[in-house]
Amino acid sequence: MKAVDALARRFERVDGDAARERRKAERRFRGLRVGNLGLLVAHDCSGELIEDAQVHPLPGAPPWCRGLINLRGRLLPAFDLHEPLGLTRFRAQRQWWLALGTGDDAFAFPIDALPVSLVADESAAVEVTVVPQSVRPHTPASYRIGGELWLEFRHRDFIRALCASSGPCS
Amino acid sequence: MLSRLSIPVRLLLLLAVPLAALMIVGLTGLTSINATNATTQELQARLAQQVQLEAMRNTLGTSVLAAANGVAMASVSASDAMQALNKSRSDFEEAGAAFIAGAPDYRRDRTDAAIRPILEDFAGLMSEFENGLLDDDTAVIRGAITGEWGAEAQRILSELSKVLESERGAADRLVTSARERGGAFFSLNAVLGFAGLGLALLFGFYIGRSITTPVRELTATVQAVAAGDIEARSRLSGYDEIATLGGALDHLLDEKVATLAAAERANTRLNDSVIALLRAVSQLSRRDLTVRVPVTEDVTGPVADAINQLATETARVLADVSRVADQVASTSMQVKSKAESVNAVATSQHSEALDTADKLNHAAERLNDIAKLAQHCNELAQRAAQNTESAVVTVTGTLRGMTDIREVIQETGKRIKRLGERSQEISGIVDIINRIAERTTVLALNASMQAAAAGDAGRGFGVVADEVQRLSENTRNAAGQIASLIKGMQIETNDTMGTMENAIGQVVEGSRLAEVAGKQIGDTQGATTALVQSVRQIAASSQEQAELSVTLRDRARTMLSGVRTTGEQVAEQLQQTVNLSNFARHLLESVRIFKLPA
Repeated sequence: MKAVDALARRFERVDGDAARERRKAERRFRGLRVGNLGLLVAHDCSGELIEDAQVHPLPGAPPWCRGLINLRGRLLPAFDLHEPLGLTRFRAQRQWWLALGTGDDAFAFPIDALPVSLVADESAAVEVTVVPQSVRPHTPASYRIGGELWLEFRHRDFIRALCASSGPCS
Repeated sequence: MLSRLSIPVRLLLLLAVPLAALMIVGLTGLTSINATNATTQELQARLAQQVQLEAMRNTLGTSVLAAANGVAMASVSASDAMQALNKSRSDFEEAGAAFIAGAPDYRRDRTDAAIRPILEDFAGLMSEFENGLLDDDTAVIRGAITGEWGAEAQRILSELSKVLESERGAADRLVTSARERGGAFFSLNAVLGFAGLGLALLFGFYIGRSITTPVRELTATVQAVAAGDIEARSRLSGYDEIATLGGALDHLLDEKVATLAAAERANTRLNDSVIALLRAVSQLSRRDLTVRVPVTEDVTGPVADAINQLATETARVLADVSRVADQVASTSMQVKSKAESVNAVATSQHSEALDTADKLNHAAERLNDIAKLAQHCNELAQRAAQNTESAVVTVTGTLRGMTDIREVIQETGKRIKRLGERSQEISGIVDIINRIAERTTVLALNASMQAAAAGDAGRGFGVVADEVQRLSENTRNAAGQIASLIKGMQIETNDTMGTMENAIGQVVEGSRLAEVAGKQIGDTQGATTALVQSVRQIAASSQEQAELSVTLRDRARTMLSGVRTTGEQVAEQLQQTVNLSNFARHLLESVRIFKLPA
């Protein structure tokens, strides 16, 4: 077997069907830190981490719209989610921007920590009531992973709603 | 006549008459005794002469004749006979001389005349005897003895007998005359004695009568007066003392009668006054102090006046007493309340004294403990002094050691400084590694996200990216750990440097302090010595304090007993106050029974 084929092959666990079933129940996420919120986006969501992105402001843009980022010729809108979510920005040594999505849905927003890979299942699901009102509709589920609270975040819906509330910005 | 003489004179006469009679009798007796004494001496002289004559007769009749007969019988030698004759001769002549010398002077001549011829004859006879013995002719001697010598000797003996008879007759006559003289003196003495006795009796009778008669009259007068006859008098006359006494008695009786009469009258008046006085006193006895006794001029006047004054004063005093009794009653009630308060205070004081005694006892025990502790401290101080000395030695060694430590610390500080520089270099390298790991993580993330976006085609790449991300994260973690370790090391190194510098400073300071300590320890040693002395004094003082505390405890006990006694006395005083109050009330009631003037 070639190394590429081996790498492309699905790994088979020893525990077999139970593990398969367990794997089916598990969901993989990427955990993001925005302020003190832990947000979960789909693991297979396309994205890129940008360090110290140069943001070009847009005149007349809402406060949460910081401007545009030129990412290798691609212009990405830069949205600061701290403002609409009412979150406090951590003063980090470096400013990381995360670009999610592809095509016209892509946007970048600042995060306060490097993304981490997380796995959650139904047993980790919890009911959370203390969620900012602006983001609540876009957090269908919440999990407690490793003692920390993580909210499943539908970023596209949130941005659309945010843009809709602010006027033409898409 | 005797009444004209005083009694001493009469008594003197009474003594003088018998004394005179006795003197006469005595003189007579003395004369008789002198005569008898002279007669006795004469008689004694004559007896002595008779003895001499007897001796002469015996000498001649026994010694001479015996010697001659001895020679005649040839039983005695001539020489022995001569000796005997010589001795007899001398004896005879001595007797003769003694006979003559023994005669009194008035008849010595007659005595000499009477005995001298005898002595001569004897001398002649002795001569013949001697001559005969010298011849030593026994026949001649025998013949002479039976012849002339014998006759001569007989004649001499006869003469001697005559003289002896004469002397005996004279002695007899002397005794007879003495006997007659004694009888005469005896008769004379008897007559004089009886005469004196009769005279003395007569004088005594008359003198005694002259004394006893007036005395009996005086006695009778006194007895009559004692029986009630106040008119009885002695009426003695004379010039002696008894008559004077009788006159004085009569005068005294006269005055006495007059005095009795006056006294009788005065008694009558006095009796009346006394009756009036008694009536008034009777009223006073019925507690009526308003009565007044009439004052007379007799002896009861002052008494009545005094009674009136007494009643007045008594009424005033009773009024005052009543007022004072009221005040006393009220005051006694106040005193009673005060006494009760004092009693309560005394009770509390007693309890406080008890408490104080207990605390003193406890303090005494504590002081005792303190004394023991002070003693222990004394021992510890001595031990501290010893320790101080060793500390001096230790400090000196410490100083040397600290100097060594300073040098070591300085060397260590340099090495640590180099170590810090090395860690700084390591920190820089770790930062580089960390940066590389971070970039690798970012790249791995991006790769992972790109692989996830690629779907199945990017799965393998996603795995590699995850592994690379994991590896970079591990590297970052390790670098972080290393960085944290380095940081910690740097911090610790800096701290160590600081600590070293502090230690150096402290060592320097310590050295300085050790020097100071050495000096101070020297001072401390002196102070410790002084402390030991002080502790010793403290121990002694503590002991004294303990003993004093014991004394205080004993005195506290004494005070407690005193407080207890005071409490008892206060209680007693309270009771007495109550009694006083009752007495005051009783006094008031007693005074109110008197009727006082308004």
